[in-house]
Amino acid sequence: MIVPVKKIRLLTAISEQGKLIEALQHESKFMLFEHENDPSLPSDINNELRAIERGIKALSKYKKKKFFAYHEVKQSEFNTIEAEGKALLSKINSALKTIENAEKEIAELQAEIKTLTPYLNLSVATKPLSELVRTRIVIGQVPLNLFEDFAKEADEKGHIFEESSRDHEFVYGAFGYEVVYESQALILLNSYRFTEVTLPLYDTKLKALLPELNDNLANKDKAILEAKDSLKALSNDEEKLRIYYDYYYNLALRKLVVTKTTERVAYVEGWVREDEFETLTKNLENKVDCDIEELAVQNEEMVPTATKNNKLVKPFESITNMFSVPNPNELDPNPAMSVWYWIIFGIMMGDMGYGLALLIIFGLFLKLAKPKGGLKDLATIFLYSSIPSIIFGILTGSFFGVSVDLLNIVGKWFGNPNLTSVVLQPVEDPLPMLIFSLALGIAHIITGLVLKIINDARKRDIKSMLADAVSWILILVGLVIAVVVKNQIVLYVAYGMIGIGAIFILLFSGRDKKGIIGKALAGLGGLYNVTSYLSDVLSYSRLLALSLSTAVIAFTMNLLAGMVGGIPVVGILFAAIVYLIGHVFNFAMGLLSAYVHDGRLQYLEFFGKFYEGGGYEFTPFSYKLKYVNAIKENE
Amino acid sequence: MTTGLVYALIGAALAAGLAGVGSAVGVSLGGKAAAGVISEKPELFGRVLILQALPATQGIYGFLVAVLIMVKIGMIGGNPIALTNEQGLALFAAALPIAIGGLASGIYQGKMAAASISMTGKNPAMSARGMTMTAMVETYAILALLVSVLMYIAVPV
Repeated sequence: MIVPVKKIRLLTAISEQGKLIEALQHESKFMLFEHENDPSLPSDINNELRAIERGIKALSKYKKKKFFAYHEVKQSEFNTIEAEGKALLSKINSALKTIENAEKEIAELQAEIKTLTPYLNLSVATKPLSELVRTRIVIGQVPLNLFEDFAKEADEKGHIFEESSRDHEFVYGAFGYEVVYESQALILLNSYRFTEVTLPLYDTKLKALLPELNDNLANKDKAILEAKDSLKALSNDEEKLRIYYDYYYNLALRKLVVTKTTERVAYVEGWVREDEFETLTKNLENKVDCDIEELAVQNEEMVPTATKNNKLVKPFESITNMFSVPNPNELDPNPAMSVWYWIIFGIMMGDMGYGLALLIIFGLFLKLAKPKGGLKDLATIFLYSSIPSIIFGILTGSFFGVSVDLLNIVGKWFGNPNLTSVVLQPVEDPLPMLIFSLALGIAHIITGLVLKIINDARKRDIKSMLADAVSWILILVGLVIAVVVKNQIVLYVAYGMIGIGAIFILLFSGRDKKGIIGKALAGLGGLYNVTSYLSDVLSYSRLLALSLSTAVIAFTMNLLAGMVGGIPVVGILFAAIVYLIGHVFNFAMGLLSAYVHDGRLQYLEFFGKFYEGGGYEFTPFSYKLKYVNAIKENE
Repeated sequence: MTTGLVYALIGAALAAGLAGVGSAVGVSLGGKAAAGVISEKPELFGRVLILQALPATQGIYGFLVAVLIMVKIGMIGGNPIALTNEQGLALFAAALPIAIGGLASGIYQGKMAAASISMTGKNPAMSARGMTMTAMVETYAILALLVSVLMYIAVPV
C-alpha cells in the first residue's frame, strides 16, 4: 500500500535547533527536502572517523573475533558515549604513537649497531681521532682480494692501517696518514677501492659502547611490549569505541542538516507520512518547543513514495525498488508481486531437500548474524521461499534428487498404499509440467493486467483500460477456454471473448492518434502485440527448464556418488565428498538462477503490463549505524 | 557396440563440449571485466562474481543433456544398449539444440555480463538490472535446452 505523505515545516527558536534535529533523527519519521543518502563529510570529521577506525582495528587484534557479532546499545549509553570514547581514543592513539616511535628508534639503533660491528676492535675512540692535527685517520673497508697489496703498499709509503675485522668480502679498519702526504694517500685509497664510512664521534672505545646500545634497544622493546599490553587492556572496551564511531558519524549527519533561519526562528522543511504525522507531532512537542505547519504540495512537485506493507511483503519491496521505485500515484505493486515471486521461486528450486537447506541456512543466518538492510531483505526472501520450494519438492517428489513420494509413505503407514503426492514429474513426463508453467504464466500476466485496470480506473482512463488490459484478458481467457474445453457452446463463447477483445484493441489503440488512417494503423499495430504476448507466455517455459536442470543435476550427483561409492575401502569417503560438493554446487547455482530468472519474470513479463515506477523512496532522516546493530529504547 | 550407440555418444560429446566451450568463453569474458572492476573496487567482489557466474549455466545445461543421453543408452550405470542407427541419430539430433544454442548464447551472454559488470563498477546500485539484462540472453539457451529435452524424451529406446 502506498501511503500519502504530507509536506510540513518545523519551526523552532534558533537556540533550540540542535535539539530539534536530534529529536528528528531519533524519531526517524521525517524526510528532509535536501538530503543525500551518502553525504560527503568535511575532512576534519572524516579524519576523526578514520582515527576511530584505526583504533578499532588496533584493538580488534587483541580480541577474539566472534563469528556472528551482534551489538546492541541502550539509547542513554549511545547519547553519552562521547567523553568516554574520546578518552579511549586518545589512550589508544598515545599507545600507538609510542609503538610507532619505538619501532622507528629500534630500526635506527639496529642500523647503527650494524655499521659499528665491523669496527668494534679498533683500539681508539672515534672522537679523539677526528681531533688530530697532523695526522688524519679514515675508517672504512677494502675489498678482501686487494687487501694484501694494499697493506704492503701502505706500509711501504709510511701509512698505517689497523685492521679491525674481516669477512668474506671486505677487510674493515682504520687508515692513517700524515696530512702532508694527503694527495698521495688519497690516490692509494682510490686505487684500492677503499670505501670510507662515517662513524658517529664517541669519546669511548666502540667496544665499550656496545652494551649501552643494546640496553637502549632492550628498553625500546620493553616500551613496545608495555604499549601493547595497555592496548590489550583497552581492548575490553573495543565495543565502546565502536559505539563512539556510530555516535560520531550520526553527530556529523546532524551537523550536515541545513536549517534555514530568520531573525529568531530556525526551520526545516520536508515530508512526513500521513499516518505518522500525529505521532511525530506529539513526540516532537514533548521534547522540543516547536511549531508545525502544513504546506501545500505544488502540482509539479515530486512527492516521495512511502510504502506500508506487512512483514511478509516488506522484504520483497527491495526487489521492486531494484527495478524502479513506484511513483506515488499508482497502485503499490508489492503485495501482488511478492506472492508471485514467492511461488515462482519455489517452483524454480522445486526440491524438498533444497527447500529445507534454504530454511535452515537463512533461518540461522537471520537469527545469528542479524544482518541489516538489503542483505536482511534478501535473506528473508530466501527464508520465505523455502516453504514453496518444499511444497513443490513434495509435488514433484524430489528430495536432493532422490524421488520420494511423501504422501505415499504416509499412506502406507495408515494402510493405504494407493495415495501419491507426486503430481508433476519434470524429468519423466515434462509435458504436463510445461503446460502447468505456461498456465501459471498466463495467470501471472492476467494479474498484471488486472492491476493495470485498477491503475487506469484511478486515472479514469477508460479507453486505455479497454484497449490494453480488458481486451487482452478477454483474448487470453478466451484462448485458454478454446484450448481446454471441447463443448461447442462454450467454444462459441470463447471465440466471442477473443472477438470482443480484438475489437477493443482495434477501436481504442489509436485513441491518441489523429485522423481515421492513423487510428486504423494504430489499431492494427495493437493487434500485432499478440506476438509479444506469445513470447511472454512462452518465457514461462523457463520454469520447466530450471526445475528440470535442478532435478537432473541432483540426480547426476547422486549417480556419481553412487559410482564412486563402489570403490572398496575409500569409496564411502569419496562418495560423501562428491555428494556434498555436488549438491552444494547445485544448490548455489539453483539459488542464483531462481533469483535472477524470477526477477526477470517479474520485471519484464509482469511489471511490463502495468507498472510505471519512476518514484523515489521516502527515506526519513534517521540514525545510520555501521558497527552497532541496534539502539535500544530506554525502559 | 553398435554404430547407433556411437552416434548417440557423439551427440552427448557435442552437448557437453560445445555448450561447455560457450560457458567457458562467456565466464572468462565476464571474469576479465570483473578483475578490472575489483582492482579498483574490491568491495564489489560479491556482486560482480554473481554476474560473472551467469554465463556458466549453458555448460551445465549441456552437461545435463549429455548425462541424460548416457543414462538412456546405458553408458552410465548399466550395460550399453544396442541402438539402431535411427535411434542413435535421433539422440544425436536431440543433443544439437543445446550444443549449438549453448555455444553461441554462452559467448554472447558473457559479453553482456562483461558490460553489466562494467556498469556495476560505475554504479553498484545497478547490478540487479545488469543481472536481468544478462539473463535475457540466457532465455535462448533455456529454450534450446527445452527442445533438446523434449526431443530426448520423445526418442524411443
